[in-house]
Amino acid sequence: MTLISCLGMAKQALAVNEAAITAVSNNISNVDTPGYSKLRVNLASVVIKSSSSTANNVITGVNSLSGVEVSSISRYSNTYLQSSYWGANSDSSYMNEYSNIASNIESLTNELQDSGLSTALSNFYSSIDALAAAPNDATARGNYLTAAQNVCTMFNSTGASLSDIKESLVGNGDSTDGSELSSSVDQVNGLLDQLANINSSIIKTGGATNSASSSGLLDQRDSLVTQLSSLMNVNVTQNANGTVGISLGNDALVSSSSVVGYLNAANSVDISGNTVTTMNIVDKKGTTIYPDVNDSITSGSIGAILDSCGTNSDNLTISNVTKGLDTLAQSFANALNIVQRDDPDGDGSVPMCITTDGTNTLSPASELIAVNKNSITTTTTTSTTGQTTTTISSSSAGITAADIAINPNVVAFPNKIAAARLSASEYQDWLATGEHSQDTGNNKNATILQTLRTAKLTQAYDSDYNITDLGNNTIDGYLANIVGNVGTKTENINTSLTTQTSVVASIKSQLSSETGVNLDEELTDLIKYQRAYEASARIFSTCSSILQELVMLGK
Amino acid sequence: MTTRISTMGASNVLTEYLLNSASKYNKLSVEAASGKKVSKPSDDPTATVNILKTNSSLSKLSAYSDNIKSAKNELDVLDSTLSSLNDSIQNATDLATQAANGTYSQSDLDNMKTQVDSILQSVVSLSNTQYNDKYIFSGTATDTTSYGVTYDTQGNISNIGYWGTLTNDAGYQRDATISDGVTVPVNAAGDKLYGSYFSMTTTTPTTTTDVTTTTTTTTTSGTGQTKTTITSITVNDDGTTTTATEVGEGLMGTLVMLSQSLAKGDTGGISASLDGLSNSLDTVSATRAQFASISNRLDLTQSSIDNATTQLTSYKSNLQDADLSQVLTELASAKLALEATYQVTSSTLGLSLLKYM
Repeated sequence: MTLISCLGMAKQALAVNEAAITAVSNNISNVDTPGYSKLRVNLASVVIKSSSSTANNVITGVNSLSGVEVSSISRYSNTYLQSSYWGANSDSSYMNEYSNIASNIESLTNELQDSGLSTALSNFYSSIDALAAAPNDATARGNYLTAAQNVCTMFNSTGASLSDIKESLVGNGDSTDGSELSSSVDQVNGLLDQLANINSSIIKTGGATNSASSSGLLDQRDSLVTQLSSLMNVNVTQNANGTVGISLGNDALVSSSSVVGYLNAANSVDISGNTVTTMNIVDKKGTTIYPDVNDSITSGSIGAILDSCGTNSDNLTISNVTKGLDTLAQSFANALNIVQRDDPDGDGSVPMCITTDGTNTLSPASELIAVNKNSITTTTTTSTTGQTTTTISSSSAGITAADIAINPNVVAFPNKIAAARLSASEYQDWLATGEHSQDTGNNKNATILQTLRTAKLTQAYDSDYNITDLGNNTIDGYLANIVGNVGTKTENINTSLTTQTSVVASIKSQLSSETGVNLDEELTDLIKYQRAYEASARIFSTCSSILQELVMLGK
Repeated sequence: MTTRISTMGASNVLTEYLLNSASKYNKLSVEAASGKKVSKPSDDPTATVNILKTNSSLSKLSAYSDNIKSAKNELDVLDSTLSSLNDSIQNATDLATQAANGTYSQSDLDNMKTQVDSILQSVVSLSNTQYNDKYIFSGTATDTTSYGVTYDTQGNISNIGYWGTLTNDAGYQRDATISDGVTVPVNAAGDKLYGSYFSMTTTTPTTTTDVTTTTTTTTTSGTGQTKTTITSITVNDDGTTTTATEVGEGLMGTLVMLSQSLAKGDTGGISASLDGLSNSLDTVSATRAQFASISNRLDLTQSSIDNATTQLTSYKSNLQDADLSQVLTELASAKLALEATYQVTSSTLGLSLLKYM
């Protein structure tokens, strides 16, 4: 019966080599599939233990050999490298996202261009010089206002662009709808659902046995976790049965085949009017299980969004840049207003503007220069004779970069700019006899305004109790510090990005050299199995012809 | 055992190297094309802050330089006006010296009076000199004509009044900022240079004295000018008394009184005006000297600003501008590296066992 068993063995070898070639073909097909783990068919020789104790009988011993079989199909994997890859991927994705946000912020504060806030400020100072040289010249007054409006416009557009960036990242005070955060959270929740489904499929197919059928599921599982790790840092537990458990910090998100916690983002407005985003973990019905998990999300693109929109001053945050610009805008406005309307030296001198009443005469200035855009109100009153009077009022309270504006009353009547200043005694003369009314060439106040260029602004209040404080910096110096700070932090982020990218690339390359497909290796295997197949076929035909010989012998 | 290299991994690594080399090459080409090594703050934050601060300083210096130029122009106008004024006073002094001789006939003196009157007219027009639509002698009331002349019914000058800001008032001065917290005055005191004149006649019905008298008193005015007051009391036939008061101060006063003395052939009055003229000449010279020294100071400040501008510009250039020879060398080597990466990538990716099967 040996020949017959030879035939059987050859038949089995043909099948086994066919299976091996199928695995090679699967590997080659997936050579460019990201996350694909190479499959390997493990062969083993089959030995049938004879029940009789005739081990010494050579022929019986040969009879007990019965060929080759597929002992298992193994999937190349490395749990340790895979986990480090996920961690590194979170970090690199965080830096990547942060670097994009940072370069957005940086381009808004790039004062190295010739069209930024510092250029507008420098033109404004020049217009003060022109005003000081010709204080009663209408053109000089007009240019001064235009230059001041340009400064405001630069503040406004930078402020608005910063809040636009924040809105596109996390949404506004009411909701996160339409923001990048909201779509990222949706992605996370979608991935959690898919992972739970994959887990349940793995349980059904018995994934732990590393069978060929479950290998695809495991690849999908790993690829989903990779996508999840780009979005945020998660803890991954790889279970013996092939399923994974996902948790954020200590809070479980996916356990076995069900999602126990979904990510949720909610916005609120703090007392300063800033949008604050809180991340929560909710159950299927939307009930919060773990409130405020912001601190747990330290990485991934969601981590970068949260950090850039947060308030931690160690990070490059939109709110810190906005706050710096707001302080600058408020201080700039107050410094102008104090000179325009108040007595900064406390020497009893009075700023004077020009009143046109047939001839130009000086009178005390009362209008502010810089005001809050939102405070501008127009009131129309109708007198008993039916005449309507329109008055525009505004205040300097709570000026920010986004809403600094030039008083429309002054824009309409540039003579209301106080370029002149009378000393206390001159002012008494003015009150008593009208002396100095004609002194429209007085440029004392414009001369004080000229010092604004080099003035180090410390804590000061205007007559409306608005605080000015640039911490003993000049306006230009403070702006340079804001820009320098953004530059330093952006540079740090870019450096970390380079480092993280190379870390993740190195882990990825290690992982792929452990689990990926090498075409040359597959081709070698292909030839190997092809030759084995050919040889088995030869055995089959040899046995077959021997059997034929036997049949002929028996005739 | 050798390390397995997965085909995809190998191509990923090569792609990454390609991107790296290309981005390095790109960065260097931007540097070479723009000529700037710092084009955004994160390129070099420290340099950025210094560049911005240097920009502020440079724009400040350029503003001061503009202020100085405009102040210099105004001072030049002032000086040339004062120089003409000097000549006018000199001419009047020559005429008065001749007339004081006493050897001239009244018709000669009348001729001289005509000349003095024309000098007076030119002095009045000098006093109303404008620069950039500003009356330069009106103090801070630059829209106001500095001097106005009014005549009485007989066509005689009754008043030459100063309408600008008074010198004894600290507010008359206009300043130009030429450096941090440093200002210089750019206008001279009009009333001090030109003085004033007015006359007044009153007739009273009752007399306190029956003698016709003329009193001349000479004092020094608040601005240091010669101030001559002439009071004439005439007893009229109808028993009334006419009191004529003339007050002449500084140059204008002296010229009007000189003209009157010439008309009357009053040698004493003519001689007295010589003192007044000499006093005015001293005032003009002193004012010119004062503004010449300011002008000189402007020149010095301008040259120090020019120096500082040159230094700051070169400092900024060091911070911001790329060293072209270095950048171009690096660019060439980056190009070489990029080409080498292309070569390696194409030859490595082309390797396959398939070629030999």
